[in-house]
Amino acid sequence: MIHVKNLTKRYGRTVAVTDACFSIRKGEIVGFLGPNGAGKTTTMRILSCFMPPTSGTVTVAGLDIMKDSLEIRRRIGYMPETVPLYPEMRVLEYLDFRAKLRGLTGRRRRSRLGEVVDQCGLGEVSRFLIGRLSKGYRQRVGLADSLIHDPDVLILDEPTIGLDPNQIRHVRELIKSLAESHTVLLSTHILSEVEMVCGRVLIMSSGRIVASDSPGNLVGLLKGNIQFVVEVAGPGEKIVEACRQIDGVLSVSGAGDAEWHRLTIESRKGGDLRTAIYEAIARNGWKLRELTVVHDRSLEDVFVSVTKDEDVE
Amino acid sequence: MRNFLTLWRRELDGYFVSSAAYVMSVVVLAITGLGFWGQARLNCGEPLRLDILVFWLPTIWLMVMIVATVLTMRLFAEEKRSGTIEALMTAPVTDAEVVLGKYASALTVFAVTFLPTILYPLVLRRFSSGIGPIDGGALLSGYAMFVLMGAFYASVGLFMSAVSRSQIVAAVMSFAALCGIFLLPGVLDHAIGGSGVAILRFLSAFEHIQDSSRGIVDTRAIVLYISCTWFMLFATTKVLESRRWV
Repeated sequence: MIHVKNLTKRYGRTVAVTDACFSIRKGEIVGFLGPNGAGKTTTMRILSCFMPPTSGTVTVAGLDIMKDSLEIRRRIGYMPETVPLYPEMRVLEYLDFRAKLRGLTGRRRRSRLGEVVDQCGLGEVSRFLIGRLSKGYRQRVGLADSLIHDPDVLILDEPTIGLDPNQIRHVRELIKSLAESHTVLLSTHILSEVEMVCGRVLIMSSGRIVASDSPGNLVGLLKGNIQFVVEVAGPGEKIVEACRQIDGVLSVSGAGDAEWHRLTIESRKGGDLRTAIYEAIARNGWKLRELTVVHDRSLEDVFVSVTKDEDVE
Repeated sequence: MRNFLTLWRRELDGYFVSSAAYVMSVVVLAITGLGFWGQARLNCGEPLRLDILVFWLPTIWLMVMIVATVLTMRLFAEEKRSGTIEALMTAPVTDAEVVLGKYASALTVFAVTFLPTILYPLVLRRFSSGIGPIDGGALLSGYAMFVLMGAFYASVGLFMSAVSRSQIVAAVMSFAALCGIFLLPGVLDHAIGGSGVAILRFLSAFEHIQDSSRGIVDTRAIVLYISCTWFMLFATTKVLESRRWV
């Protein structure tokens, strides 16, 4: 759906995006991560035809952003980071205006208006002046605006910033429900959100795409070997032996007093052996009082490790 | 075309939902009305042409420049400041549609603001006994020139709004530019003595007002204002487009 090849964007002498390449398939929800100033917003602005790339090619739904800008804009729903709205307009009035600009007419416009107002929970405030709305509501008006023409591609720049936890959950559910028929690219700083919603993650750092994979794989890549700590009561050597038998275990070490043995089991990356360890112990009738994973890394660790260079600067 | 109408409509709503447009109209009409009253009183009992009374009010031209500035200053500057330009330009609308929609709305409000001045000659006719019949043709050509000049001034204001990020800067620049455009050629023409430099005379707003309010339809002036307006709108579109230049 979206293909980006060798995308570079310079602002005068500063380079915002360097040689970025990625593509997003139809129906994917892709999370776009990166430290502030990494070039996410710039990339999204280019995708939404707000500004052109300095070099490189970008196609959306097979259309070139330079040649078919209008047609692409018709198919994209873009929500800018700052959620710019006209404060003097009322919510419905604004959405109606935006729907008209997107070429929606007559009955279809009215029905879409009703749908997005429901989807985004704007029913209560539909007649309010936008300038009087709280940040959360404004955010939702922005989201409704990007959805109103039922676009193939949604580009959302930090859609959940400024929302309360309930609203974040609501928006997350909404985005998930859109996934079936839409392609979504969303940037965010909330990593747990990405793990929950996105099928794939793009991490950008200093204008480069530094990682692109599913959240699970990214975490797996980074993990390296995993260590488990167990405390078992039983005959020491037999326990060590039993643990060594478990598939995937690299080494077992540890010490203990007469009764309780505290062992550290190291396994190859990726595998969660906790169940296997428990079963091995239970089979022998030993007592177990602790079983923990020591190096369970998260997407946050991935984020920190691939964007580390920038932090050092 | 539909986009143009949608944008025009939105900008028009933007003017009239706030009190600014109403306040401006009232102030403008009060000041031009005072000017008209003053002029009429000053010349009470004298033989005086109607066109001088209506179109030679200094206050009305000052107001034209101020209104053209005030109406256009926010059109692009405010969108850029608040970031709404990003939402606007990522909607499927062309740059020209945006420029024309905004321009047309400013022009509409401009026309509405000055429409009541058409009452001045009627008032005069009603309340002065010895006045001859109103020269409808001269009034018409005078107003046509008035609209043409207003249209050009609004396009200058729109351009200034497109190149600046703040309404205040846009207002100052466009008012300065309009004063220059309005006064400079005529003043220079007078200073030099109206001899050698014919171009100053062609550009002089005084000259245009004088001719048109006497019922002289000079196509040179019409072409001048229409082409200048077209050029300013073209330049504004290019400024808007420059964002997309690599």
